[in-house]
Amino acid sequence: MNVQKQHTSFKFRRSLARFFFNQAMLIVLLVFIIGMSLVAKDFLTVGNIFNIIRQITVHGIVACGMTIVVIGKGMDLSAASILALCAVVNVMLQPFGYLVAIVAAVAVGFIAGFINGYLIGKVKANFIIVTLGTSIFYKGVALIISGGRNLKSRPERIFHFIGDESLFGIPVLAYFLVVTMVFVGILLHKTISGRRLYAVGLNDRAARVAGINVSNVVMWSYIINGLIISLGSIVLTSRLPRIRVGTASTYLFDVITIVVLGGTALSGGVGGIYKTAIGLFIFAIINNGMALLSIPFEYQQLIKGVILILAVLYDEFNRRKRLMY
Amino acid sequence: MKGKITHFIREQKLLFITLVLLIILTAADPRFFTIRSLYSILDHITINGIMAAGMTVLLISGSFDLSVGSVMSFTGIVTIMMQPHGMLLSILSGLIVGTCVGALNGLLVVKGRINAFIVTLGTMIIFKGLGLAVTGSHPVKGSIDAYQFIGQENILGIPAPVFYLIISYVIVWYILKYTKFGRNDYAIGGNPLSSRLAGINVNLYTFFYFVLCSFTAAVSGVILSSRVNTGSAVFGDNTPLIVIAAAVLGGTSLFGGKGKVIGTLQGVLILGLVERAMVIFNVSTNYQLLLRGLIILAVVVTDALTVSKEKVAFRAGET
Repeated sequence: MNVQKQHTSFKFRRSLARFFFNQAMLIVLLVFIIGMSLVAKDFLTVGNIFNIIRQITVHGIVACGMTIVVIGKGMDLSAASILALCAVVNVMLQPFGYLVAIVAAVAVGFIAGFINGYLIGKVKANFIIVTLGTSIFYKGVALIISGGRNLKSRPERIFHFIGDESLFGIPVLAYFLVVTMVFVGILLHKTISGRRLYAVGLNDRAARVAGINVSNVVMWSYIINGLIISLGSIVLTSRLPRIRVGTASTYLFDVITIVVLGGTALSGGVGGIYKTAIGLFIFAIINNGMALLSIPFEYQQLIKGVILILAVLYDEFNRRKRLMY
Repeated sequence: MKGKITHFIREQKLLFITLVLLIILTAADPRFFTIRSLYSILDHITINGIMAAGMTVLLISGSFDLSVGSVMSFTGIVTIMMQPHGMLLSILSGLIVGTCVGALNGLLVVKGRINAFIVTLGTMIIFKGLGLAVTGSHPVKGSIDAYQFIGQENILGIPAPVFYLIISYVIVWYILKYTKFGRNDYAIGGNPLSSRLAGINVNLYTFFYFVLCSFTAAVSGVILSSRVNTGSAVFGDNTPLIVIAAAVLGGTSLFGGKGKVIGTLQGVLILGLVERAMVIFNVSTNYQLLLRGLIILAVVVTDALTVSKEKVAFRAGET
């Protein structure tokens, strides 16, 4: 009797520990929410929450694409440049009608993703250097076609609708974010291609031996990333009245921080859209909290950097602990 | 015979690129081919060049450092801000602070077991933010006149930075070629696991490669702040890109275990010549970005293609 009781209590403790270490980032998120609502009174209001959602939609969408690439053991350092390029193309073609503008932006995203994917997947060049190179290249193209100017966006009503209005009491932007996340979630977790991507990320040699066309999977992960970024660019241009190439450049580190905060490992094959969503909300709360507490911009950068490193350290610590249980 | 020639061309392709660039530049501007303009180019590439030497050592060991730009600017800020306490002390404190960032990077990578990419991304953001915070987002001006001599003085008619460049490359070349520290570098980059089994303290060495890389960045920071007599947090935003690109151009592999510091010097020189060419041909800054991106991509693609060819040849020899 006593032994059995001990056994059940041990089992309970083990499952509790497992839950704790598996869902560590969720707990961090809850702690942040509680802490922020105690510190800043305006934090838990509907207006502020919608405000947060408006601020992070583009981050969230781009982070979805980045998650796909990172699971495939890659990294897209050109994400911000693709975002800028698509946004510039979108804005510049808006005089020809919104449909042309949107289609062109998506096409540019596809091409940009394809160039990355082809060089990394087929030519087998190192992803860091390739995406560094293309990030400079795409940024240059965006600067050349925009002439480095501030571009005025949104003559069309549809962009205004996407950026500012609400549907059923919730900002339209939120729907974009949710739909992208659900789409990527299904792609990753419910399709064969998604499983293949995980296999490639975990061990590309084993995946090849198992009959997976590794270079194709890698290439398509970058192409889908490009397409998702182009969707992000449409949201970006709808939300902001003026677009400059420089506007998009801050997104890269934020997006990487979001993906890593969620616990998607850069070593590939681990992670998912659920984790990225948690990372996104932690990031959003930190950002929003720093704005509510009116911390100067310079310190905001510093704090973000520290949080990035602490998050990864914590994640690594957890992984070791998790192995013990 | 034919194979030998193509082999030679492939081995010395950087030399050919340099020559072609020199010919183009001389054709475009006859005044270009003078000893003075050579010095001015060398003078210009010193800052990135010294960092690239340290980066080469780190890349050979299979790691990566994105924080060099921030270390450079932060060192400059510290050095300039410490000047009221004396020149020597200010330079020393700048170098120490810069090197400590490397120690932090190394510690987090080795003991925290975090991906080097993320660690250095984090320290890059942190020290850029710290630099902005310390200076209040305004550049700080230096107060000691003698300090400017470090970066602006001519020795025997040659700009002083050229000497720093040569000295640092000789030192790094010697380290890589003739010391245990250097040989272990290649071993660790080639295969960390077997290096550990062979009795090399991989963690300790990796730590010191990070320290070395940041030290070179700190030295560059001192030279840069002395050249412009200013410390600012906005210096060095693109530096990691250029530095890594130069090393890769010079044949250093991003996967570790392969690379030569002489190649890196050639890579830095080529990037410097291209930059000079863009100035001579009056290329606007936006097109400069585009060209730079294209150059990096071209280098990576040719590198990947030659590597896969080598692998094919290797496999053919095996069977």
